[in-house]
Amino acid sequence: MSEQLSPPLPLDPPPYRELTWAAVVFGVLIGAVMTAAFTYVALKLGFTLSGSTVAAILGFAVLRGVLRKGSIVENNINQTVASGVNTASAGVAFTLPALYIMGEDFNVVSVVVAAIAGSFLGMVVIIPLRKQMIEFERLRFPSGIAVASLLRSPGAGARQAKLLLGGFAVSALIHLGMGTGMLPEELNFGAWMGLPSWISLSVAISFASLGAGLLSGRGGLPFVFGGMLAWWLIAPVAVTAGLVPTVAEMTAVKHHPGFDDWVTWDVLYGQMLRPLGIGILIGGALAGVVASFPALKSAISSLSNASKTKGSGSDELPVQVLSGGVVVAFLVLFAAAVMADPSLGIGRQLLIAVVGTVWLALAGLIVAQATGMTDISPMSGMSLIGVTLMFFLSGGNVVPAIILGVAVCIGIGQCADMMGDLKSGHLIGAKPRKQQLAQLLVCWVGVPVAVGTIVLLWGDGGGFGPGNAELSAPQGTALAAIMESLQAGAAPLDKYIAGGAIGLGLGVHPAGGLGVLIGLAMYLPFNITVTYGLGCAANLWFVRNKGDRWIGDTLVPVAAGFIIGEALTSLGVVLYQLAMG
Amino acid sequence: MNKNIGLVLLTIGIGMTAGFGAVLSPDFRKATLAEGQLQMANNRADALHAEYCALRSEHNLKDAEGCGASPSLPDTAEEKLALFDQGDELLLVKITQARVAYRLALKKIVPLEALVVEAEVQGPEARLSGWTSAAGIGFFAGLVLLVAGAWVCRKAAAFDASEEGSSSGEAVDFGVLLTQVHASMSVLHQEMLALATPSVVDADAIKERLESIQKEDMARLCASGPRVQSLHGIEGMAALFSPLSAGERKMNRAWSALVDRHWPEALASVGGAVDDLEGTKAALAALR
Repeated sequence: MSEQLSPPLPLDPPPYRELTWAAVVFGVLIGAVMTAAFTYVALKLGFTLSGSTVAAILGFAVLRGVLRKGSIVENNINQTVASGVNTASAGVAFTLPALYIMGEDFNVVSVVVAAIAGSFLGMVVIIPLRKQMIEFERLRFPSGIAVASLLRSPGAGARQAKLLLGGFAVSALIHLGMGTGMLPEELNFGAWMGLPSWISLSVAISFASLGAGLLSGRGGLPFVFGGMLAWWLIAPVAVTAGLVPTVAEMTAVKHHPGFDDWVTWDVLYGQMLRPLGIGILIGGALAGVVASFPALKSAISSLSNASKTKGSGSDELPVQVLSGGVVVAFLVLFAAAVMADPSLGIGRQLLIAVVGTVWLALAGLIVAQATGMTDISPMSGMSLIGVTLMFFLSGGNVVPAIILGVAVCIGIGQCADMMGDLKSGHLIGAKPRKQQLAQLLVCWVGVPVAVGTIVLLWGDGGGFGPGNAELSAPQGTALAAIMESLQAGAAPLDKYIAGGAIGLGLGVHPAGGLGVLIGLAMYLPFNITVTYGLGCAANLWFVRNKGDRWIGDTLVPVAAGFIIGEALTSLGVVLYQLAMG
Repeated sequence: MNKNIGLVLLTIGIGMTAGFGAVLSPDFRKATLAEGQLQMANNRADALHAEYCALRSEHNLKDAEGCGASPSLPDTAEEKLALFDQGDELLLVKITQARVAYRLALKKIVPLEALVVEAEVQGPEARLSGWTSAAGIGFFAGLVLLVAGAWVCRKAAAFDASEEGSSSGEAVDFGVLLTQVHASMSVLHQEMLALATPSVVDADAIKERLESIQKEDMARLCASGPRVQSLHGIEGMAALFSPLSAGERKMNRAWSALVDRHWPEALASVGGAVDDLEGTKAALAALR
């Protein structure tokens, strides 16, 4: 095979670079900077961003470009670490501000302790499910595929690189147009046709959703079916059959401006479909756990086998490390419950820690599954249930409810992030053990950074919140409003129970994850589902007309480019807006 | 046919359960109606306030009463009215008319706000019992159809798999494909071992052949999970896919190592993948 002019490869090079200090330190640095920046973004705009793509690109620039020795798997460790650190930004920024906004007196140290416990718990409960989700169920994790495409780009060949760049360019241009207000954020065909907003005929312009659909294909169809059921059947029937308040009943007012929007978003979506969707998600996930119990048992036993392999010979973290981690993290969570409100009593504090741990594990599973199937995370809904549970368990006490809610929110985020990173790792051949070790080492780092950012921004008081035009903290404000309504006694228990029963029933069907997909579709506005569905339909057409090989060679890099393009452009637009004030 | 019946039952069941599940309990619906009327009245008042502010701005009046940069208006209609009652500014007729229209709208909001306060928040248990009495029967009938449909689909899927297994031989296909991949990878491994001084060109050639195996037979093998599960059960599928996926990951690792020009790692990974594929073959033999 050898040719005379081809340079020989070293036969005794240094070990293949994977879990290195350079990758970890650089990942922590990028992750810490992103955590502070994205916490601020979340307080300002109400959403945060994923750091995986940014970290992967910076990793290329520094590890391969500047240090000139980075490998593909080393860069994967770098992005795993950076995104693991950054996960704290969403968990903290969506929950903690509510305590400040409500004017509660609380111990910041207990928040840090709870958040760190949640971070570790999220990691140790999700790691045993790697085999189940990635190897057995083979969930897609579209963003994980996109990051893997980016990591593989040095060796993927010129054609695939061009396709990735092409997808990136199209997506970036469109989203730049949207960010500057030159293009609309959705195509609302229903409004153009004069239809009321409760007959949803709009398509969100989101190349990330389109790309996720292109990567999901047939597996994503139940998600689209769930959206159609919710918005093309239940919503019109509910309005026309008078299941929701009608204009004719509103006799106390003569004018009804914005009636359709109120019925659509406040009643149909807010009071009916969204809570029902959350219930279906929970029931579907529980059914999934029961149905896949034998495979889960097999996954756990493979971890037990890992512990019998000496040294670093195994690719899995030993089960003792994980079970020990669960015990330690649980004890820390319990300590946080004690610190959050010493007057609660030991029994109630213990109950809060036990239920918090169990809920974190289940919600983490739900979020990881939903992200794996569709790339869409129902994190806010699951966190909301977590905070509600804590609220009732603490006897209606807001402070421990939110502090434990911070832990649950961060833990759930860690679950989805870890699983996405493990998917990227699988596709480039990384050792799961090294990825897991790296993230376990640093998953606490983002917590003090994010909490510190919030404390600094609050300052002497009023640094953010509804009255602050600069930093309105939309998610924290929404959570504060929810806590106030919980204090008044409102909770859609009927919808959660009905949804849970539907989700459990769907677990009987042989197609795995049916309940999670249908629940997620009800939980989301329909325009996102439609865009995703268009991607799924296009994938099916391409499979039929072009074949599986073409999908791998052409469609995957284009779809990955779409996802990366939207992620990076959104980040760029946000940074530009912040810089311009 | 069974599968179609199952799908029809399932679809009707999902529609009924989701439809009846979404129904609001009567008392909660009544409270929602009160909130809706308040919302409509607020929307109307906001629009009138915006008109009033636009007229002020048009006539270059200073910002006041919630317009422009003046402090925001208080939350309740009663407080807003109190604020407007304090105003003693002399205004043009057109602007005064707009101001009066807004005040009248605010006055209509006051009883609606009281109505919302009167409509007590329904607690979780009350909402649950109210919903059960309003939509419970339809919901539970739908749930029966849903579960029956899903169960028929499950039976039909198991039957299809067993028929295919005995006639066209999906398990044989899996086994044949597995043998092909194992053979291709073994040959590749032997050739790599035989290279005394591998070069960059060798690494690229090996990478191309590895890609070809990954994208053709290995991808098909890995995509056969649902059928394997129908044939061998979930435990059987786990026993097969555990080593198979490990082999797939090691092939991916070999690819990365070849791109990074790290020959020893690529060689070890290809060898590891061959071992894992052998493990998969052994697991398949144990299942048969």
